[in-house]
Order: sequence, then structure tokens, then C-alpha cells
Amino acid sequence: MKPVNSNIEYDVAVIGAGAVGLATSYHLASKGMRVILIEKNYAGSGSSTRNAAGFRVHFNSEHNVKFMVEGRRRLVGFGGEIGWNPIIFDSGYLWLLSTEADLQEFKRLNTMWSSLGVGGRFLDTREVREVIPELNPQGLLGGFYGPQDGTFHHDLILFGYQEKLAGMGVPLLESSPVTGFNVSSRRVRSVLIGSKEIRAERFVVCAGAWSPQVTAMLGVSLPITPERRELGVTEPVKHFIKPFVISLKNRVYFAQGLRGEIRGGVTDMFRKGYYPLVSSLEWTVAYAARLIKTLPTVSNVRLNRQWSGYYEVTPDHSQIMGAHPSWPEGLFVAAGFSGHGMMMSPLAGELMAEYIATGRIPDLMRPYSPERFDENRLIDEAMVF
Amino acid sequence: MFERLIGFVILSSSVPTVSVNGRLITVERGTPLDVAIKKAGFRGLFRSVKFGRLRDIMDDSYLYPQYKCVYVNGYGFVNPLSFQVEEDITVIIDRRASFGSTLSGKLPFFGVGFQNSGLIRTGFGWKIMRRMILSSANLPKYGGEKVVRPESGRLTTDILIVGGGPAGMGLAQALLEKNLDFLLVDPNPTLGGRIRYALNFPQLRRALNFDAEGLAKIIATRRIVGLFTGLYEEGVGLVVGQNRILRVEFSRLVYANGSKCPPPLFAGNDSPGVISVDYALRLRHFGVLTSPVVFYVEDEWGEMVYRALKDDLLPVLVSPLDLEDKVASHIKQVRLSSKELVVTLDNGSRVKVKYVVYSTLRQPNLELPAQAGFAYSFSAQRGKIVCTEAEGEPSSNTPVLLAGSVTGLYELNDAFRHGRAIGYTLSGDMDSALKLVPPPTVVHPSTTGVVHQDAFVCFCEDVRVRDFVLAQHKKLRGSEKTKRFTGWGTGVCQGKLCIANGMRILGDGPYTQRLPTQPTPLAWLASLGDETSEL
Repeated sequence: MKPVNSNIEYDVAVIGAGAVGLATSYHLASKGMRVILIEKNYAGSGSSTRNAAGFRVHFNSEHNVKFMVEGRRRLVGFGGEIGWNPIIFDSGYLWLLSTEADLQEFKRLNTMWSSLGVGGRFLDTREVREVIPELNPQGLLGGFYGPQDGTFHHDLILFGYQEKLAGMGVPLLESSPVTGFNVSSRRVRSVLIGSKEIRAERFVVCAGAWSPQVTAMLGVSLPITPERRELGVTEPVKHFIKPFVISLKNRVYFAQGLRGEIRGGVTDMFRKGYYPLVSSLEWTVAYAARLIKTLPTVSNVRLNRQWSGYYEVTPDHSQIMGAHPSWPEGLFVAAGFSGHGMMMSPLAGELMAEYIATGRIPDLMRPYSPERFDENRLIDEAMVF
Repeated sequence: MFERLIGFVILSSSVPTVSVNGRLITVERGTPLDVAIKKAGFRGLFRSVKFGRLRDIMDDSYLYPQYKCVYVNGYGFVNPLSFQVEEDITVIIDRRASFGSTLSGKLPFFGVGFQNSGLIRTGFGWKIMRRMILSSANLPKYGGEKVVRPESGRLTTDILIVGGGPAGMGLAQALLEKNLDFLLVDPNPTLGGRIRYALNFPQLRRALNFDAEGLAKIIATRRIVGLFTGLYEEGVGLVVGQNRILRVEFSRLVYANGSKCPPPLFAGNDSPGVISVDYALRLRHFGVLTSPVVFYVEDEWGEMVYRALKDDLLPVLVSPLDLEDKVASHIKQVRLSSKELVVTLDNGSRVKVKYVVYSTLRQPNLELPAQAGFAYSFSAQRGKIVCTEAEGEPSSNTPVLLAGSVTGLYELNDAFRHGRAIGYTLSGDMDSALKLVPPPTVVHPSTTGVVHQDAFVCFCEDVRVRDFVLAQHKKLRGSEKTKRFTGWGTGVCQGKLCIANGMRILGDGPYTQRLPTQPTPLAWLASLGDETSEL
């Protein structure tokens, strides 16, 4: 860590060294801006190391589909650009459908997805069992397979950015919780970390679920609510689950990593608020039962670790990117990714950097402006797991 | 490089034999499987390899109860907690090495944490490599085998003691005296923790300042045989074992789950025959541990065991401590030849032995308390991990206390006194508790001098010292980032042995732990809920 002289001015101070903050810092620094990255704990300690590390282009909202079609390219190209292969596995997503209503809904969505070039395939029960013969066919109507989707490893994204930033001489201040800001003439002048003051032209809050706590110091309230969710991983077993599977009926999702471990969670159990990131037995029992119900063959496989993390949820389950006229000048936010932050981070960082460097809002980013909540231009996103 | 041994499969439960490499061996009921295999002249160590790991029986395998049934077809043949054969079984040990394990001996980046594999960093040929990894991984295949549904139940008590070693016994003694309601959970059929085999050796029994056997008899009515796997948000814990999963409710919880000595960091520390002092006592008890032997001793307990076995085994003593009959301060390397271990000492001399017995500065079994919110730090001066304070996010509102060597501070007899002191504290009798607070223990110098790049830090995830060095070069510093980069401590043993080794290198902590601390079959967990009725 480089010593920080409080007299040095930065073009941008990025607050929060999760995937989005790291990506934003990297792209800002690549544009030749003087950047400093400030982190309360250690890089990735928030939600970036706690997610299920899946990526998909299949969303309910056309905006989000377009965003992730481009975002997927950034993920796939990450290894070439940054030099760390994030173990992209184009395994596809497999939605298990059990009701006619679900089937009709996916048919409607697939029309939109096809028009954007990312249509998937409908599988009948036999075809679903060709993908994973071990699946319980009971009550299964069929499946939707999205071949453009897949899994990756989040840690490698974080490591890659950290190595790049260190190489570019961008200071990363870890264990440095923000304690306040200095504002004068409606402009943010500096950020305070205890007695340390860091002056910058602009401030980007990428603090995920903790973003409202940071902006509250500036009197800005963000419509982001933390939702505590839990995840578990089993011991490694021989690879037999290729796609990332979501069972709508059993409300469970799971995928198998290259180490052989099966990781997953349930889709409908969460607690709103800053609940301690600990593990509940209720979740453990529900997850185990639902996973076995979907995939009876795993009954003897043992749960090895479980943990919890926050989704940073907005009213329309889509991120907030940009600035608001009512905010103090110099304040920007890239947060509220509602469970999709990891997969979106490489692109989100690039777009934020472009916006901050040029002042022009990139087209892909336009729907995510914080003003949409006042203007009732909410994004119709219901596909959150 | 010795031949890698992959896995064992139980084929039948009807024949009273064990087959090791085609040889059939009769195993009497009640005989530990590891002992039976050793008696057959077989070196029980199974190397794990990332992407293709199977690591079933190790010389120190009793420390890893979860391995005993890991990749066995089905559960319930071998008691996963005591490793004792409870039914007649046939075991076949397969010598086939996997693609991954073959590679790991030849390519330096294979078989280490997959994050730092040179192959996958470039992105070139990644798809082909991925296919090779997936098809070659010699992992157990699941499906089709019998699912053993455990008996599930509930228990309620005021105080739950986790661990039946010296500290747990001291606690139980105090609580019995004060007539408080408690239960004690311990996985081993015999109480005593690390002293349970030591009690069979008169010299060691004399060295203990309490009547362990007498106490064990009294506590027997208050004990549950099983493993406590952690404290959940709801303030309840799970006990797993003996085909049983129990949901235990309590108002107070005491972790008295002891400590372990991590393998020292010399090259070859994963060789078969390199065993901990506690395991050496077990093998000696069953008549398997035979001369010649090297003792590597860093602490008082190791010295006590050395003195107790000295006349029988005539071992070579290696120690950084100032002991009168020692021959060198450190082991540089252990190399496995076909029949024996060749041990190179730092004075340049070499000895050929059957076993290397180590007793290092003990690592608290911190996986449970760390998960409950206790913080640990590495004391460079002592070369040891100590509990610093309770902080962070406690996993529930249930009051949790620590007793004995799980605090990282106490020698063997002190653990018993400390357990009693905690027991009196719980009863509100502070006067008695204060009288028992153990005196400060002797501070030994740190013994981190010789660290070999090829030494294993973490066995489950195949992390070596050189992987830590690589993480440092990548500027990924600190325990959390090193853990994520190397996989150190995230394997099935949940850091039971490797955390101390990692911290000795990093000088850093604390370290987050995850539930369940004992890998538990999904069907067992599911059996606790209402959702099973839908299954």
C-alpha cells in the first residue's frame, strides 16, 4: 500500500473495492485518470466473494438483456484483456418448468430474446433428462435451455483487477471505512477516512449493499435495500451437472464447479435488512430437501460449507448508475445490482468510466439513471433468483 | 515420487475381509480399519490432487473423521467417527492413479490451487483443458447407492459442552459438583480427547494431575456420541454421528474442543509415516508403531510422549527445544524410499526410519469458535495461534465460552484446571474459578526457521508453501486473499490442521469459518425438516 498524502488530489475517488469498484477504477485509470480506491474491509469482502458466480443474458427486461449481451462479451474477453482466465464455463442455464403458465411465460420471453439474438431452446422432459439424466422427472413439464449463459469464478475477476491496478499504481486503501465527506458550494470536495482526508474531483460510490450508508453521509438516500441470502457448497463429486439449473417449482438453483463441488441456494428465502452474515439452520434444511427433491442422486453428497451475503436490491431489481441533479455535484453511484453485480461488473465499470471521463451517458447505461425512480420509468425486471 | 493411491471402495458388507491391493485381510470387529491396513503392511496415505482428488485414508486419518466414509459406496459400514469396523466388510484399495494425479507429479502447476494453475491463466486452449479436467477428475460418482437415512431427534439442555478431553472433563466435574444441567458431546467412543490413548501408558497416566478414567465413568451418563457441527443463527446446534443427526437446544454453550498439532513445514511432510504424536499413541496402543522412529518435538506434550516411549522404541529426538538427548534442531526433508523414510536433519546427517512422529505447537480447533464469533491471531513470538477476543458477528445470541487449549494458551494439565474454572464461572462461583486460573505457561521460541517450498500447508486442497509465495508475488496479501487464491483451508477438513501452518507463513489472521464444520450428507440435513414429507 502506498502512503497517501492528503494534499494530493485525485481525479476520482472510488468508494468500495468490490467487483464494480475495481472495474470502474481499472477503466478510469486506463483512461489516464488519477484514481484512488477506498475499501472498508478488504477487496471483495462484501458481496463479490459471496455470490454463486453465474452469468446469464436472459432477463425479463429488454434493457437488462441488452446490457448482459454486451456484459457477457466483457466476461468472455476478460482473460485476454486482464490476463486472468475467470474460468468461463459456457454451461448454459437450464430452467426446469413445471406449469403451463411458466412455459407460456418463457415462450413470451423467448420471442423477445430471439429478437435480440439470444434465443434459447425448449426441451421436453426426455430432452431435459438427456442433459442431466439424474433429474427427478416427477411433475416436470420441460425445460428452457439458455446456451449463452454459464458460470465463472468471481475471485479471478477480483484478482485480475487488483493485479492490474497495482501495476498501474492505483492506491487501494483497505481497512479504510469512509467516515464522512466535506461539501462546499453543493460540491463534494473530499472524503474522510477518520482523520485522513482525500480530495478528489469526483466520487463514485460502488459500495454495493452498503452504498446507502455511504451516501447518507451526504444526505442522499438511495433506494437500495440489503437482502441476506444464503449459499452452500458440497464436497467434490464427479462432474455430472453441466448447466446452471433453476427449478421454479422446487425454488432451488444449483451448478457444479470444475472442482466438482455443487453450489446452490434457494430462490425464496431471504431477510431484508443488514442481518448478520451468518448461517441459518432453516436454510440448510430447506436447501438440502429441495436439492434432493430435484436431484435425488445427491442424497449422500455432503454439504461442506455454507455462507450468506447481501443482494443489494432496488425497487425494480436493476442497478443505479449515474448521478442525480439533486445530489451534491461530483457524486456518482454504481450500485444496487440486485444480485447481478458480479456478472455485470466488467461492463458496468467500463460504462461508468466512460461516463465520468466524457460526461456523456453511454446508451447501454441510460436506462439505469437514478432519476428513473422519480419519473416512474422503472425497469420491468422480475427474473431475480 | 511414490506411487499415488487412489481411493477405497467397499463392495460388500457380507464378507469379513479387507482386500488391500488384491490381498485379503481379515478384520476383526472392533478393529480400526487404519490399524488393520497397517498390520497388513500397507502404508495408508492417499494423496489428494486438485481436479482429481481422492484422499481417503491418511496416516493421521483419525484426525479427519469425515474421510472415513467419504468415498465409500454408501454409509454406515465403517463408523465415520471412530473408524472402527462395526460390520464385516470387504475393502478394495485401488492403485490406479488418475490423470490429474499423474500430472501433478510432473507439472508444477498441476495439483496446486486451481486458481494459480499456469494452464488456465493464459486462456489458450482453455476449452480443451477444461474438457480434460472434467473427464479425468477421479472424483467419486454419486447415484444409485443406498441412502442411509439417519435417525433424527431433538435434545434440550442448559449447558452444552463440546469436547470430552481434559478441559471438557474439568468442566463436567465442576458442573456435576454444582448440580447444573449439562450434556457433553464428543465423537470418540472413549472420552479423553488427546489423552484417550495416553491413559494406556503408565508413565503418561502418572503425569496427569487428575483421575481421567474415574471422571469419564461419571460423565458417561451425560454424554452424546457425535460431532458438533456448529452453532446456527437460531441458537441451535447439530450433532452428527452414529447414523444419527440431532438438533440440540441449549441456553449456554462451551467449546472445549481442544487443539491439534499441525504437520511441520519440511519437504515431504505429507509422506506416509509422518504422523502426529496423538496418532502415534493410537498406533502404539494397537502395536503398529514400531522402530526405528524419529520424534520431532516442539512442545511439552511431545516431550512427555517421547520420554514415555523412549525405552521401548529408542527413537531419535529432533527438537528446537533445549532437550538433553536431542540430535538436531530441525528436519529438512523426508524422502520416501520403497521401504522406509529417509530423514535429512539440519546437521546434515541422515537416518532411515519407519515413522516420523511430530508434536508441534498446537493449533486450537478454531473452526467452531471462529464461526461463533471468536477472533484468533497468530503470536509470532510463541509461534502459536491464540484466541484474542470475541468480536465480529456472533452466529447467534447464545452465550458461548471457550475452555482449555482451544484458547491456544494452555498446556495439558492446565486445560483441565481451566475447564473447571469455566465450570465454576457458569455456576456463579467466581471464588473457586479464580483459584484455578492456570499460571502463564512457558514461552517457547518460535520455530518457523526452516520452511520448505515443497512442504504441504493444506492437504485437502494441495496447497504448498510455494503457492503462498506465488500469492505474495501477485500482491494478494493477507489471510483472506491467500485463502481465495490458493484454496488453503477451504477443503473438507475445514482448516482443522492447515490454518496454523498458513498463519505461520503469513503471520496473519483471523480466519472466517463456515458451517457445517463436519461435512454432512444432504439427506441427513433434509431429515430435520418438514419438507422431507414432500420427498
